[in-house]
Amino acid sequence: MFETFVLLTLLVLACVAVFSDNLRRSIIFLGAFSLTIALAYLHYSAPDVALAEAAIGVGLSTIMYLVALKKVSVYDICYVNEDVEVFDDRQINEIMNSIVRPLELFVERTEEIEPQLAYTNRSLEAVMREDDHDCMIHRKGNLTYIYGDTTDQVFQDIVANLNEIITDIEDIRVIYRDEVTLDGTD
Amino acid sequence: MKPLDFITGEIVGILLFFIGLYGLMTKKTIVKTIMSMSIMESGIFLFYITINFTEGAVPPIGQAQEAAFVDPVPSALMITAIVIGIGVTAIGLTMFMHYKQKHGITHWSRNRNQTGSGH
Amino acid sequence: MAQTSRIFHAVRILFAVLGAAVVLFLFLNHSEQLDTPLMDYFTDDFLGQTGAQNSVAAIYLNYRVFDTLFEALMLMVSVMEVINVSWANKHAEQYRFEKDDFNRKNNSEIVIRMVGIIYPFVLLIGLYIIINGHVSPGGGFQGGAVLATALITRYLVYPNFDLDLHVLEKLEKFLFLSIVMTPVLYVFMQLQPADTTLTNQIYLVAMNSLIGMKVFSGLSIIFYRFVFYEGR
Repeated sequence: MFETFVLLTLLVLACVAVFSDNLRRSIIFLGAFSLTIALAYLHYSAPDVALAEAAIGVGLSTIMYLVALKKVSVYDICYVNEDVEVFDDRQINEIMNSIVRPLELFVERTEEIEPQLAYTNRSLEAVMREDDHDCMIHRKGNLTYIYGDTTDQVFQDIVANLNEIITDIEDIRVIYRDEVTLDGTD
Repeated sequence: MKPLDFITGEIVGILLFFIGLYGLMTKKTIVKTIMSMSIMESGIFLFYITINFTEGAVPPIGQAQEAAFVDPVPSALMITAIVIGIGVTAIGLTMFMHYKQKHGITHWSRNRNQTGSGH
Repeated sequence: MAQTSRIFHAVRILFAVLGAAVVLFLFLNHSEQLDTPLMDYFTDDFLGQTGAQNSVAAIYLNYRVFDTLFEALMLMVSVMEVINVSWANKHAEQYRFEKDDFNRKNNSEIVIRMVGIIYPFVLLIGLYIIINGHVSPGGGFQGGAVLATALITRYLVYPNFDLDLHVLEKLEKFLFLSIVMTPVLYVFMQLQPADTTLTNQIYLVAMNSLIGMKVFSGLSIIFYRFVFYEGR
């Protein structure tokens, strides 16, 4: 009975650790998985292996994963402008000080996660369909749109503080991707 | 045979290996790939530990003869394998952080950087 | 594009499920009974032959000592790989950790106090596991990992870089040489003063201590490289 319980717990924890989308959560589940498998080794009369797994799997590797994740918490931002032929350094420098750098600083300082930026000149529909970005900035003529999800807490904070973050541009429109269909935004 | 009798150590080890393989194939985050590799390793360890286990065996310590000893060979092999596993994890995470720092890659994505990216 | 990716996803799920089904089918329908001559030999008289009361320690320190040698080599190779990758595009001296003032506000008071209480006990249990590896569960690998965990808890309280990693690296290479030389002289060439249980036990304790120090220094180097040289 005890054996069955431990083994089923192992399967459930492995599934949650693999299928979970939140990296931090799945690292903690991996630590719980290691602790449970150490218990299973103890049940199977291998105390040496249980000791090694408890010291290495739970202690060392969890801390190493967390340290690695602390450096690279990623918030994925994509800047879309279909009018630009090729993005070079001059183009990026132009938008850097007005939009991108304040947003980056806000995400770093306030939300404590690291932003990752990508610039593209493909069409918005293609980017939305193929890539899975957390937040997208779309520049079309003189108008600026910000796309995001209502369930995304970071995006909610960005929207709430938008006037303080981006002071250069007055007219920014916020569009929630999961409320508005793509055709209605044109 | 009741369905709960199928939950033995070897079968769970095989299932853990394939759960890890599935994560290795589908997940796009590099950290998730490394975690899937360690789940695969754990499945192999569990399989080895339970492959010659008889109910009621005692750990192979001391000279107690009233109960049978469990097989000490897989234990000795798996201890070394666990220490090598943390080395593999450390190398993977180091290379991941190196790639992140140098190229900005955190995902195994084919779609990004195709056309006109300046990052 | 989305269509093909969905097809690929289904193919991957199918591949994993089919692989698991095939392996489980082969495993459940396999009825060959194998003898266990190795287990019988190893559990027969390990106290008399090797002086260890723990059969696992007897195996990895005497019967199959090659495993331990190559495991130590693998750990050293992984340490070298971590050092090499973290040096790939910069000079080492340039990335010395700048000494900050010790800022107590960034650290939780609970963590600091609890780690201060726990720290000597973690060190003690690590040393206990190493020294008693041949009579109880434990040994060099586990004790070394526990000692490395103690060093990591020190990092949680006092995240400054005041360890000299070069000394640890040199120590690790020297320990590897010792780990190779001791079994070669004692087990393979039989250069032992007397073949009694006492000398065997001295050999076991010495090997366990060497392996413990080796694993401790290797894992500490990996962790501190990891924390202070990467991603800054």
